[in-house]
Amino acid sequence: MSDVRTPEPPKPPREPRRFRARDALLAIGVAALLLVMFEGPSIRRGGERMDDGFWKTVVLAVGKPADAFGDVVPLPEIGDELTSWLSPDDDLGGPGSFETSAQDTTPQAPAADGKVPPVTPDYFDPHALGDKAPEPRELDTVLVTGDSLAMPLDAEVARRLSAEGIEVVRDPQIGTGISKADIGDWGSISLRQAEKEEPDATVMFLGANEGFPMPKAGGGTVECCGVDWATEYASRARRMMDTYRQDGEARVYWLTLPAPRDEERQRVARVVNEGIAVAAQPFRAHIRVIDMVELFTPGGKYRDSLDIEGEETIVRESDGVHLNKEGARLAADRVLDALTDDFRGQAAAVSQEVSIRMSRLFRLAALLAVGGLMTAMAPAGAPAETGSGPTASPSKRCSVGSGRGYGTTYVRSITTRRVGCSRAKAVVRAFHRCRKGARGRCNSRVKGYSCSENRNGGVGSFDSNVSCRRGGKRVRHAYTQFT
Amino acid sequence: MLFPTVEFAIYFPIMLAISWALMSRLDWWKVFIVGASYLFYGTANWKFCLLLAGVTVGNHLFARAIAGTEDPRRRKQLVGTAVALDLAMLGVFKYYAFFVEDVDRVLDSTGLGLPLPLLTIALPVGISFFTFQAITYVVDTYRGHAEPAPLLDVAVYLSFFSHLVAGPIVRASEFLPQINTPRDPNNVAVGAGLFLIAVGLVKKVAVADFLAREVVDPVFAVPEAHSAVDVIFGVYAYAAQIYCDFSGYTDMAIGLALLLGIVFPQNFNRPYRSRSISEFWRRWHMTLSRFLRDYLYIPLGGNRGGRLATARNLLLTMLLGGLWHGAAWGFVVWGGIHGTALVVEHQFRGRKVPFPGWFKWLLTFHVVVLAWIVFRAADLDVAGQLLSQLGDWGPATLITWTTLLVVMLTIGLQLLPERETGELRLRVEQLHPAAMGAALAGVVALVAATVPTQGVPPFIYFAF
Repeated sequence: MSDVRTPEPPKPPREPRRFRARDALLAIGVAALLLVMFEGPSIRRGGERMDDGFWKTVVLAVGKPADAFGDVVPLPEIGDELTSWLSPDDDLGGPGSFETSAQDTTPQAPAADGKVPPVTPDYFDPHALGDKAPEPRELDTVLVTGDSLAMPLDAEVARRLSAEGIEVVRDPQIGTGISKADIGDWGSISLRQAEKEEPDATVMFLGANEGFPMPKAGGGTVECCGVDWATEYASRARRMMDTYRQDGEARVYWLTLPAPRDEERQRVARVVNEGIAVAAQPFRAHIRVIDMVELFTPGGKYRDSLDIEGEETIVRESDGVHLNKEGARLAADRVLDALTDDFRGQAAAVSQEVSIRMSRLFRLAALLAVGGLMTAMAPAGAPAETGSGPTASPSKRCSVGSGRGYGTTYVRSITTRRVGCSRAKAVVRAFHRCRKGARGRCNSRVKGYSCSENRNGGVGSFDSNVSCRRGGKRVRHAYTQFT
Repeated sequence: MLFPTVEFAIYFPIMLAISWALMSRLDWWKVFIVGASYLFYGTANWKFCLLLAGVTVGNHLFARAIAGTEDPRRRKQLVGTAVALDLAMLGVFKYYAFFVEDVDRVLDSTGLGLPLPLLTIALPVGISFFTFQAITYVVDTYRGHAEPAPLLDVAVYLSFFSHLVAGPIVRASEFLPQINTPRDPNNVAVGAGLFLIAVGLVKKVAVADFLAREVVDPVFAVPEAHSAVDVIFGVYAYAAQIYCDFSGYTDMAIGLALLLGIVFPQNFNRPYRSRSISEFWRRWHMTLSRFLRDYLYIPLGGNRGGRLATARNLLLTMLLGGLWHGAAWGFVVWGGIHGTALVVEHQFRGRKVPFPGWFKWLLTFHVVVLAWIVFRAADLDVAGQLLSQLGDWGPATLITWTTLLVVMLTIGLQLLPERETGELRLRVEQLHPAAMGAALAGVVALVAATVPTQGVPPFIYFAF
């Protein structure tokens, strides 16, 4: 009986430990010390990005010595190594950086030998000459980018164009500026965007954070806002324009800055707008400068509201810099008008806002009706289709010609939904490059599309149906491969 | 100043040290806290400090005047004037632009032709919160629940940095007694405070901002570009995001106050486990719920006037509660959905409802999620478009293992028994303070690594 154990009494609930105020100071002190040791460079960078003032001084007073400590003891590098996998950022430096790459080499830059640079055909806007503009490629992808000014313009443009099956890539870089390379270097950002998205049109609205000193060629910095600063700004903007226009295959729509409320900012905005105008000169065939000054602040005089269709309407945010939603709608009208001019027939249906906007009353009714339906269905866990939704975009069949030239024996058909044919063909070609070999399969995404295929084997050849998807976009094709 | 920033990481340790050093001299401590809090608040715009000071002085004078008279009529006039002035100030800063265009149109159409100036007015951060706290102070003084306090105490109460910009909405009767006795330096909830700060950071930066970036913002910005599956996932993701964003802020606010020896009321208690909308409001933004109950619903008559009057009071309370969040019809509709649901529930109160618990949970959760659509959408057009996308079935592009896991964990963890999560907190609280500090640094470093170059976006409730 000796091995019969008496059950242990239940443990009393654990009491929270009692701490003293000095424990709080110790814990916070240890945390602060470790962060200073491991995050010194980040603290310094954070301080450098701040606007001038008390807190910038304070943060830099901590960040600079902490950064210097990190140079001696490489703890920040260890910290970066351990946590880099969590970073959500694309590389915003790297190739194309304004800070590291050579100075402007575009045609209008002063020639190194001192000769007058040549005028090229790209200087001329064919419309202005009464000439027929060269046909741009099909409007398939539009990039809307810039800084916080590009919001909510990006969403507005996207809403109007998505109904047409045109992909709108929204990529605002908040807090950035052409003259403010520490957060994001637009030389690199523009290169990355152009290479990654290959946009047929780029809408740029940038300039809320300008006025910072910029390094100039040959050393030293140039302060805002004299001729030297404007020259450097225009050079950088021109490089970006050149990147986005992709050797003249794409179009760029660059919005000027409406006058901000603050007088100091107005001065910067004037210089920025001059810089944009000068930067665009050699590329008038491909770059449209869209005037927001005349639209929102005639005469360069700030105002909160505009007369829209007989009604005075607020168009600016309370910060006196950004456009509100109503303002963004007006700006989007101008952008889409310009897009329609260049890509006639492709974006024509979208320039009228009314084409996609339902009346508020109808929306509310739809909202409540669908809401009630959704609530009723909620227990089942799966909302069903509603009658009020738009019908699915129809599929479109693309001509494949002889079917040759796609990387397989021949392609029999290509159908698309919400994608232009030129992009669809590019996807098909990329898919066959990815397959590698007659019997190879493609197991990775191509141009952002994930593809699946269904093969029917035969002797010496097989037929296959491939379906590629990216969001609501579909590219389907059928091909035959001789083995 | 946001909590998860370098400035705050420098500001708080210094403030903490000085605060405890001055604790034995309460008057000095109060002066210091007011100065430090105004420094915190003035980072956004120093002009807002003038507004805060004006609210403080104005409500202090009204509270003194109310306490200084026995005449009930005079007291009523004074409290009415104070509340009206507070609300008028809130109205000008928060709702002027919302109404002015409509008012102008009405004036114009009726031929009166006295247009109001169309101006955009900057919204001072936290105005909704400190105005409500000021209202609780004068109303509690009027009701005899609080004594009028010296100006310095009122200034500490209204400006105390950790609840200044987004709550919790602390009553004067909860806060003022705490600052009039020195905090005991031998009994500080360090473990709980640090635990809450770490949890709040993770919720805000690692979960809420991540979901906003990857799922919610793309869906709500351009619903047309997304299939029904993405839209549904985006709405669930927003339910997770807003909970983590707001409760993350509150956790940090409560944790920081605990380190200074101040206790704030709880503001969230796992709201997504609720089995009714009334239970949801007992678990979600609890300090706003009780404000609406005590200072709006009950003065309107509460449930004392029969079914119809109760329904009217519920609906009105929730509509105004919705409007408190911001000057947009979406918030009004959001309040209307919650008010309607509360009215329906009220009709069934006391009756046996033959639904199993899981069904009630599922229904409640989806009513809440449905209401989040109008709350988050930029306007009713966008909300309508989002709902109409439910008919557009297509592939899911936003659902990845990571986003799915984060959404499921955020909602699923709330369904666990409280004991399970409380045990983890108790374990943390047993650690040595230096180990807790090291752990906090580790959490901060990991969380900081997830912040994009463009920095931490403001808390959602900073806009309200």
